[in-house]
Amino acid sequence: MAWNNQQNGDGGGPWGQKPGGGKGPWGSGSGGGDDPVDVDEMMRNLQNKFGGVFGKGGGNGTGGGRLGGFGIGVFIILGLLLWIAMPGSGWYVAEADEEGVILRFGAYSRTEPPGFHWKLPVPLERVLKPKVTAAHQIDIGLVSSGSRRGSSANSLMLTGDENIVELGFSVFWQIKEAPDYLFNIEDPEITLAAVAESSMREIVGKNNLQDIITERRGQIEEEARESIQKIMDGYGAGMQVTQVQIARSQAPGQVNDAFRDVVNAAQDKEGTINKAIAYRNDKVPKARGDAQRLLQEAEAYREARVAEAKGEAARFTLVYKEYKLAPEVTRQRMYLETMEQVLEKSDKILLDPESASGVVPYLPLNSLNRKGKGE
Amino acid sequence: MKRFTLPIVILLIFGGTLLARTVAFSVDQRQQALVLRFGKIVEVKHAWGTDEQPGLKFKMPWDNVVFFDRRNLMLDAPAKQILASDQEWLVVDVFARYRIADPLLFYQRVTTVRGAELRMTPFLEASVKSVLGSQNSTEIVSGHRGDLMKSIRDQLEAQTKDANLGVEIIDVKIRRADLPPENAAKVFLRMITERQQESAKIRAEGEEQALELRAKADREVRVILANAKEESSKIRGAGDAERNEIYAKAYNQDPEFFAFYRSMEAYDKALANGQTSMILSPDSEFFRYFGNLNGK
Repeated sequence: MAWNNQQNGDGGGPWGQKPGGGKGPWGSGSGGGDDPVDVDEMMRNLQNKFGGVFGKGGGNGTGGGRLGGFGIGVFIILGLLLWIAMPGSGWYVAEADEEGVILRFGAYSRTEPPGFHWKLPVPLERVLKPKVTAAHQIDIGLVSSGSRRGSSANSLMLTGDENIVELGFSVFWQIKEAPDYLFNIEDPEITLAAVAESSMREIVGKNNLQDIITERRGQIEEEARESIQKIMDGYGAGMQVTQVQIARSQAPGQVNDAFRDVVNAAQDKEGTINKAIAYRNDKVPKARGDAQRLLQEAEAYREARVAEAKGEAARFTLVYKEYKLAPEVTRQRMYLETMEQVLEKSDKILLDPESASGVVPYLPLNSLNRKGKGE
Repeated sequence: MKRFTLPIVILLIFGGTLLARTVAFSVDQRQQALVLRFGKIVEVKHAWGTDEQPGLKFKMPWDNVVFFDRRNLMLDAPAKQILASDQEWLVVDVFARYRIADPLLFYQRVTTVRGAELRMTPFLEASVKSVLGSQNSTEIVSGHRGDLMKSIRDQLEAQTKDANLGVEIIDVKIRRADLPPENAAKVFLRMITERQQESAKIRAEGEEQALELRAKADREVRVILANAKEESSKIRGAGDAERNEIYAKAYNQDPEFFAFYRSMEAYDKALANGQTSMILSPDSEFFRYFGNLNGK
């Protein structure tokens, strides 16, 4: 991979590139303008340290003859080239999401942006390439991601009202300061996971179950994020906690049915009330109808009675008018007509009161009655 | 001479490298180093708390170098059950962050991180027990955890200092303080019964409201009907009154004639069914001409 990145132009591979270009640190005597200052320094250091040795070798070479000196020179140059050209030794490439953090003899030297960079070959300088732009994610208490070492597999947490909630969350973080991230803390990610769990459990311990699974979720996320960030900053971890996301917060499985039943109960309640409302909506209009019927009946009764009375009265008045014209005759006539009407249909026994006074007790009244009924 | 030049150069290079390796060493940004001369500590490089920079360091060729971590390290103690002051058991899982602050002492007392952890874990557990054991469980779970963690840290710090471990305790965090599984089961049971109470209450409230609604509806129905009956009685009464008035007005024209007229009508109606047997006297008004042409 690194080879491909390195191929710019002549396709000769890394081996053929350096001597031709004259860009290598070792050709600095002629075209040194391109080289990092550090390299020059390094060269000087090297020469100071090993100057004696090289000088001696050089002396031997010149003393021995031109051909031998040339052979040694070639050997040394080839060795140096090999040393520099080894991938990750004299150069490196930081990918787009990385930074190059250079350690010289283990000491932090500099941070370099993505791209191709020269550096001193390996034992002198080493490079670390943290992924600084990537958003990293740590899941805690989420079964799907598998349990990490930093988090306990148990996602049950004790709440402030002494209930237990099942809570799983993710922590998203980025590298804020690459050197801090690399140098200040052992296993930053495991530390972050442990700190995150600690913070979240502390916050959950201060809240009520109902709040955690409903409206306070967002606030808890933010509180946890701030708390984690504060602790990690205290450690100088160089990490930025961008977000804490509660992926799952619910009553534990054992009690979830009971929790769901509460929701059902609320619906049942609505249902019962709705039925009652339906009952009312059915009964009350019917009652109004009945009431209307009663009123109408009463109205009808009144009107009928009044009409009847008016009729009777009118008839009486008419008869009376007639009667007034000839009272005696009319009276007589009405009496006789009525009697005629009445007696026409009745059984009649005519008795002379003088002679009948002794007879009446002997009349078979019962049989007379029976006869009348029988007909 | 010429044929020896190449081997000599190679020898020199190798020799030089070897020599460099014996006198020079690098101390990583993340490390501190002890230089030991025949088992005796002669120097500390890049020690915590000093301004010394890491990087290339020199020593005598016969010196040994031992490296130690300079970073913030984690001491993770296994979860332990702790009896809180209210006799509740809690499973407490804590971890401590520490740093090798004095590599010299550290090397003398525990030598390795593993050794340090073995020494420090009992201290940590003891501190946790002594601090949390005096608190009740609610205080541990939802109280001032920050203060408790700080007390644990202080105790642990004191103990490690007494033991001269050469470490500095950065802080102690309670990762979790939970009920043990058997107590958790009790909590679950309580949660379930609480929820059941709640759902029973909600349902009963529904019944309550429904009954009220029904009762109100029934009342409304009764009131509507009763009002209607009252109104209808009034109407009927008014009808009867009007009728009486009409009759009275008509009949008052001649009460005597009314009596006669009404009597005639009543006789007719009352005796009209033909089932009446009558014993009549020929003396009655009806038979006035019955036995007498002149009507007596």
